[in-house]
This record gives sequence, C-alpha cells and structure tokens, in this order.
Amino acid sequence: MAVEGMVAVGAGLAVGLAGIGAGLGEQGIGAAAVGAMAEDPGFFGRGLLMTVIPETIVIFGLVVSFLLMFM
Amino acid sequence: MFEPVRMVKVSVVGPKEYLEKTSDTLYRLNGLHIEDYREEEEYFRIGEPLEKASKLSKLLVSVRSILAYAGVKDGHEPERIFSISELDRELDTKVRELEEVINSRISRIKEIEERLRKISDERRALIPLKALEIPPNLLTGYRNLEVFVGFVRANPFEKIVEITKDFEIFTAEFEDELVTAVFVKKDYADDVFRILQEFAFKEIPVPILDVGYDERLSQLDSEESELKEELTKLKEEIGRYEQDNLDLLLALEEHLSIELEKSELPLRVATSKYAFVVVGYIPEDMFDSFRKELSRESGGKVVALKVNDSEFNPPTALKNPGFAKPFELLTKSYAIPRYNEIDPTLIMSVFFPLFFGFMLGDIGYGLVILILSLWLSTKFKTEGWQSLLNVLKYSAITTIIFGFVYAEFFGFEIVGEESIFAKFLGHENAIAKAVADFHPVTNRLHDAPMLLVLTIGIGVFHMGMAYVIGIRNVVKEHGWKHAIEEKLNWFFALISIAFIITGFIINNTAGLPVFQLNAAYVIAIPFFLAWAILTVIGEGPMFLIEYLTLLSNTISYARLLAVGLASVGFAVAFNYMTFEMLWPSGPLGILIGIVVFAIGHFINILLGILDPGLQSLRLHYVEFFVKFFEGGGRIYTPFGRKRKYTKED
Repeated sequence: MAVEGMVAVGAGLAVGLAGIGAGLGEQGIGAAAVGAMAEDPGFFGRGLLMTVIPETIVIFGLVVSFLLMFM
Repeated sequence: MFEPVRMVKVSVVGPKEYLEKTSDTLYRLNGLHIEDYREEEEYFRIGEPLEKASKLSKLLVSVRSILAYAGVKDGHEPERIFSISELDRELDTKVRELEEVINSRISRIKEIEERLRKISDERRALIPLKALEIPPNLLTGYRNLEVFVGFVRANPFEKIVEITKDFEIFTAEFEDELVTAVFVKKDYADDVFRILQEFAFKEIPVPILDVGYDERLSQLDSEESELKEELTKLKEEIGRYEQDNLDLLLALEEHLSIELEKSELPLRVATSKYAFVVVGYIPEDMFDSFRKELSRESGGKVVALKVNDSEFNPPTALKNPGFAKPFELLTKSYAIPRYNEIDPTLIMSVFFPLFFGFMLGDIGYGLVILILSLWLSTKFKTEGWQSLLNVLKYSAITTIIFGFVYAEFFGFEIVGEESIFAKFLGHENAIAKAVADFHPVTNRLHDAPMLLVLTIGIGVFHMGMAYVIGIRNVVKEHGWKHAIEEKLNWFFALISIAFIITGFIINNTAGLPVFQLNAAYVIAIPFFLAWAILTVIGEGPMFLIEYLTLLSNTISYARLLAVGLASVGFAVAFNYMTFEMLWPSGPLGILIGIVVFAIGHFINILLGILDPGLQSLRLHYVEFFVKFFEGGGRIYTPFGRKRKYTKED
C-alpha cells in the first residue's frame, strides 16, 4: 500500500511539476508572441508555434506518470 | 488538388490608344495577376494614370466620407442593384445631391459639438468659482491688482506673507481640492505666482459675466439641452437619409473604386511612345479564353502571349474541394504555400477534425458545439468567421462520432452496467437492462494505456506522411540527392523510433527487462544506422541530436489522449458532485447541484472548444508542417473583382 501510494504521488508530481515548468517557459514566449501579433496579425501561426514548444515537457511528464501508474 | 493552381506567365501587348479599353476588358475577365512594372528604361516607362482618375478619386473621397457616417454592417445584402450606365449618367448630380444633403448637416453637427465643448468647459470653471462665493465681476478688471484664481494643494497664506502684506486671499474646499483667489499688487505678481506654483497652482480661466453664477449655470443648462436635441435630430436625419440611400451609396462606392482602379492601371504597366505591355500570371486553363476575348474586344489589336523566361515566380492560388476550403484559413495563418509546394489544406481538413473529435469525443458536447456553431454562423457573416465556424462544425460532427465510440454523453456512460439510464431510471428499467450488456468500443479511462500506444501510432503515421510530402517538395526544388539527405534520412529515423517504441512496449507487457533485444529492436537497427550515416553526410554530425527532437515530436501525440482524459475527468467530477453529493441532500442540494452542473459543463465545453482546437492546430503546425512546409508564397490577386452592389449592362 505504501509503495502504491508513493507511486501515485510520484505520478502526480511528474505531471504537476512538468506543468509548472512548461508554464514558466511559455510565459515569456507567449508575451513576446502576443506583442509580435499586435504588430502583425499574420504572425499568429508562427506565434502559436513558438508559444507551445515547451508544452511537450508536460507530455513527457504525462507519459512518465502513465508508465508509473499502469506498467 | 494538392498543388496550387497551375499558372502561365503572359504579356499583353497593344497600341497605347487601346489601353483604356484593355483595362476594362482585363478587369471584367478578373483573371490576370499583374506584375507591377518597376524599372524605367530608355523606351519603356511607367504609364500615366488616365485623365479621369483625379476626378474619380475626388468623388470617391466624398462618397467614402459619407459612408463612414452610415456604419454599414458586415454581410449587408443590397435590396437594389444599380446598373453601371445608370450610375455613370447620374454620377455627378447624385454625388452633389448627397453632399448637399449630408455635408450641410455634418458641418452644423460640428458647430454644435464645438459649442457643447465650450459649454462644458465654462461649467467646469464656474462650479468651483461658485464655491468661493465671490461675484464674478469682482474677479477681473483691476488696473493695479493681479488676481490669481485656481486650485492649489494647500493654503499658501504663510508663504505669501513672507513677500508682502498687501494682499487678500480667499479659499474654499471643493471636491478634495482647495480653490483660491489671491488679490495682490501688480508689483508682487511674479513673486506670488512663483509661490503659487510651489503649491501646484492650476489656473481657472475666469469668464466675463454680467449675471450671477447660478443664473449663468442655468442658462448654460438650457442652451445645452437645446443643442443636444438639435444634434440628435440632425443625426437621425442623416441616419435616415443614409439608410434610405444606403444601397446607392454602396453602389457608388463600388463603382467609383472599380473605375479608379481601372484608370490607374497604366501606373502598373510599361508604356513606350506608342505601345503598352502588361505582364502577369493567369491560371493555365483560363489562358485560351483570355486571349480570344482580348483580341475580340480590340479587333485583333491587343494580343496576349505566353512568356517562357527565367523569371517564373507565379503567385499562389489555393485550389481545394469545397469541404476543405474553410481550412485554408488555418493554412494561411501559418504561411502561404509557394507555387511549387504541396498545399497541406486537404490533409489538414481530414486530420484536424479527427484529432479534435478524438480528444473531445462526447455526444452531448458535440451536439452543443454543433448547435452553437450553426447559430453563430447566422450571426457572424464575415468570411473569416464563416471559415472558422465551418471548421468548428466539422469538428463537432467528429466529436459526436467519437462520442459513440467512447459511449459518452456529458461525461456519463450511455451503455453498460452503470449507464446513464441505470443511474436515473433505476437498474430495473427496460432501457437500462437493454444497454447493460453493451460495451463501448473503447472506454478512455480504463483503456488509457492501449490508447496511449494508439496515439503514438497515429503520430508516426501523421509525421510519416509529412516526410513523404517533404521528399516530394525537395525533389521538385533541389533534386533527389537533397531529398535523400534531408528528408528520407528523417523518414528512416521516424521508422526506427516507431520500432524502438514497439520493442519497448513488447518487453514491458511481457515483463522482460526493458532493453533486452527483441524483433522490433532488431528491425530498428538498420533504419537507425541508415539515418545516422545519411545525416552525417548530408547535414553534419551536429544534427544527430535532432533525433531527440523527433522522439519528443512522436511522444507529443500523446496529448490526443491527455486532453481527452482531462475533459472526461472534469465532466465525471461535476456529475459526481451534482448527482452523488448534492442531489440526495434535499431541495437546497438539488438547487446547488443544478448550478454546479450547469456552470461545470459550461466551463468544460468552453475548454472543450479551445483546448482540442488549439492542440489539434498545434499538432499540425509544430509536428506536421515543420517537416515539409516552408511557405513564403504570394497570394494570387487578379486585376478585377466580383461586383456586389452594381451590375454591368
């Protein structure tokens, strides 16, 4: 039971901490992208692309939590 | 279908007298994307605009300034369409009439607005003065005295005493500030003024009045209300006149801008003393009729020729079947494909809704979004909104389809032991019994590991497609050597990643050590080696690190599952709160439960539009497009336009 509980905590931390990290990464990029979009609305596509790049980290966290929980 | 419209480069040549006529014909044919002539040389120069251009632009300015007052709604449908000959005949008189009716009123409106501003200024000055309780005629008109009237931060009495004793000061509180009037001999005026400035003195201009403050204020009030009444009347009159003549105004605007564009064509073409040359691009299948029409209209004097020169840089006209058209918006907001590139719109139009549906997958949410987008598309008529809402409609339909696959309805299961029917109608209910033995095709919460593998598989397939298109694009532009060294190697890398992940899963499910060699790992090795060798030869050893990027791209497709799980999690939580926790606790609980249910699902639907939409877009922009799509094309804008408010005779 104790081990399972720790696994669940670990899975939660994997997603949560990765989320915080991605958020920190995205804040600067997002602000800059919105600024660029205000100058030139055509930047939307590229701006979105740049902004979401750190997001993959969360997916890594998610996959790790899946491996912990199910495998 | 996958390529932009095929173009040919043409030059239209003719004698200069025919330029005006040719301009009309070109505009009507609405097919030639004109390349502006820029270099001037000995024989050919940029042409002069036709004589009527300056008159037309003057008229256009007045029509547009009138229209600016009318405020035309997007998607306005004209009730009457004017013919060109009618407009031409009455152009001058119509515009003059409009100007007379409107401009006289507009100038009166400006006068009134000016006067209203003055009134409010005066009132702003009078009210604080009134607080001082000094009659207005005592504040001005002295020969030897200077009077300072205004706001100060604090009472400057002590400081002024240090300079002179010959002064008088009055102060009064007014809205957190101090109003003051200082009477002082002219000799000391400068010094006193300096002191007042230290107290942040803000002067109030004292009006010259022969009546008391109260009387003046009521005079201002009555004048203001009269003027305001007149103003609304004038604005209503203009509004009514414009509504009555809106179609005429719009027709005039359209007609004049078309004529102006036509008469300014010479500025974009090369002209010599006797001839003109227009160079541009036209869709291949239009060329024959284009050439015939030009020659017919000019009696054979103007000819169109295909040009085969080295500077072939045609504009991009996207060509997609009707259902994929709305997705062009998403492609364009990333980049405009170059002429020789594959246009990814069609592929996106299939995968975008699929990804969206895969993520959201709920019959209830799908229906809500479908109804919402159908309703909104009757409200927002602009092209951009229509495209966006059409994308949303497709996505809603796939959401409903995947809702059946997952058997979910607002987070409830619609089949199985614990179905929505069993919950609300009881386990003994006929419907509940009927559906109890069914199982959803897949249950997202229970089958998550299996679905995770599936999403990775989808990712490998999706990106594999991207590399195939990438190979084709590079072959077309730079040849096979580059294609093999830049794109095929990464295709191999993708295959090796796919097999490595497969091997990992095989070992994991069999309970073997993770990196024990198995068949999948063995298959991955030659692909991995082929990738490594080609990459080192083609791009250099530094690029080997990019293998990790591709790996993270592949795993990135796991978001297809993750976003969906989050959405189901929310829905299940709200349902649990409402029906398990609040509902059984009596009337108040039921009431709060309904509120929680409504707000919860409302938020979840909003997130359900936003998040799957953005994530699906992201998978296309970041994981898919980057592998083949460079963009940088110019959009095809033919000389001419579709008439909306006018018609040709």
